[in-house]
Amino acid sequence: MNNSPYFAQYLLNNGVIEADELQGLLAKSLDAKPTLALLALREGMITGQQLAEFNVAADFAGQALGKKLLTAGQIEKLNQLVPSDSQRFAQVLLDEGRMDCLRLEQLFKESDSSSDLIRASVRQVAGESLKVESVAYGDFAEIFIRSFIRFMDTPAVIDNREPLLGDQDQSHIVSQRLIGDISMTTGIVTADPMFIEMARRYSHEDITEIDELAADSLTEFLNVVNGLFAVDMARQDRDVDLEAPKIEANRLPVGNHQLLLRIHTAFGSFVLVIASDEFVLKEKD
Amino acid sequence: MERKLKILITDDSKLLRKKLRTELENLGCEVIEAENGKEAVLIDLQEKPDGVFLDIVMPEVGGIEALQVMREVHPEMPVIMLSSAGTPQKLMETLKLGALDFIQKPYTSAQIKKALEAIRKKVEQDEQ
Repeated sequence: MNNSPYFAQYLLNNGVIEADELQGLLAKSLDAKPTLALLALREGMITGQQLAEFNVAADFAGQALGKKLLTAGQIEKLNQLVPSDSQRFAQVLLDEGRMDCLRLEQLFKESDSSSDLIRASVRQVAGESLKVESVAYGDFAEIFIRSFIRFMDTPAVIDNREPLLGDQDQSHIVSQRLIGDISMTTGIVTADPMFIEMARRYSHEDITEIDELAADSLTEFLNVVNGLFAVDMARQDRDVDLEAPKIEANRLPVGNHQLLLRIHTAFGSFVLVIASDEFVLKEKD
Repeated sequence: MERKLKILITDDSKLLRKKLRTELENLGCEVIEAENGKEAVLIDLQEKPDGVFLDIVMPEVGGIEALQVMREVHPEMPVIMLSSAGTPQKLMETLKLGALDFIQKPYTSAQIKKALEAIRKKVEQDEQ
C-alpha cells in the first residue's frame, strides 16, 4: 500500500479542504490517534463498505475477528503500526464528521495514485508568469517538502494561494544561493516563534531564542536541502554549486522571477522563497 | 589499548561541530575545532591532528582550498569530506585531491564510525 505522506496536500489541491482550515486541521492531527478501523482501511485490509456495516459503538477487533474479515495476526500488526501523519490527518476528518469511511477510502485511493502533488501545487501558485521557472522550482519544492517532513517530524502542505510577506512583527530570513547549470536562490522567511520551533526540531537541542545555535540549525537545514537538490540535479547531468547560507533579521527578499510559497505545518506556517538570482534584501516598512 | 585519535572538525556551523564533537568523543577521540578553511590550515600546522572532518561550503576559505593546502603540508593525513554538496563532481574532485572519503550531509552515526575506522587504519599503516 502506497502510504503517501501528501494526503493533506491532495485534499487541498482537489478542493476537499480549504486553505483557511488547513492550519487548524494540521494542528489537531498532532494529537489524533488513528483507530484500528482507520488503520485497517488505510492498509487495505478492510474495505469502506465492510467497515460501514460495523457497529461503531462496539469493539472493532472483536467484530473484525467475528466476521472473519481480519486474523489475529493482522490485528496484532495493526496494533504495532506507528501511525503516519496522513493517517492522523485522516482521523481528524473522521472525528469531525467531515466524511465517512467510504469517502475516506475513495480519497486514499485517489491520493495514492496521484503523482507530482507538490509540483502541481507549485505550478498552481506560480501561474503563467513563472511557468518556465516552475519546473526547477517544483523540483526543489518536492525535495524541500520531503526533507521538511522527514527532519522536522511534521506534515507539511503548500498553500494554494500566493502569500503576502511582511505580516509578522519580527521575522528572519535564511537564504542560500545556488550557482552553475541552474542558478537560483532559496530562502525561508519566518516569524521568530516559528523560527525557534523549526530550529529546535531540526537540531534536537533545547533552543528557546534566536541565538547562534538556532541560526545554525535553520541555515544547516536549508544547506542540507539544497545539497540534496544539487545531488538530484547532478543525476540529470546538471552541475550546481552552493554558496554559504546567510541569515538576516527583519528584511524581506526581492528577487527576479520570485516565487513565494506558504508552507503549513502542524505547529505553524512560514514562507519558502525561490528566485532566479540573489535576493536583494530590503528593510521591512 | 588503542591510541586516542586527535580529530579536527572544520565546519562553519556551531551546531554541526557540537553534534560531531559528541559523536567523536563518544568514540574515544580528542576533538579540536575550526570554523573555516583558513583556521583549519593553521590548526593543522600547530596541532598535527590524526585526521580531519572537512566541510566544503564555508565562508572565507572553503573546504576544497583547505584540502589542497593540507595535502601539501601533510600529504599522508586522512581527510574526510563532510558536506551537503555531495555531487559526483565534488566527490571526484576531492578524492583526486587525496581525500580519504566523502560523507553527504546529513550524516549518520554509522557513517562517522566507519570513517573513523578508516582514519585509524590509515594512521596505523603510516605509523608502521
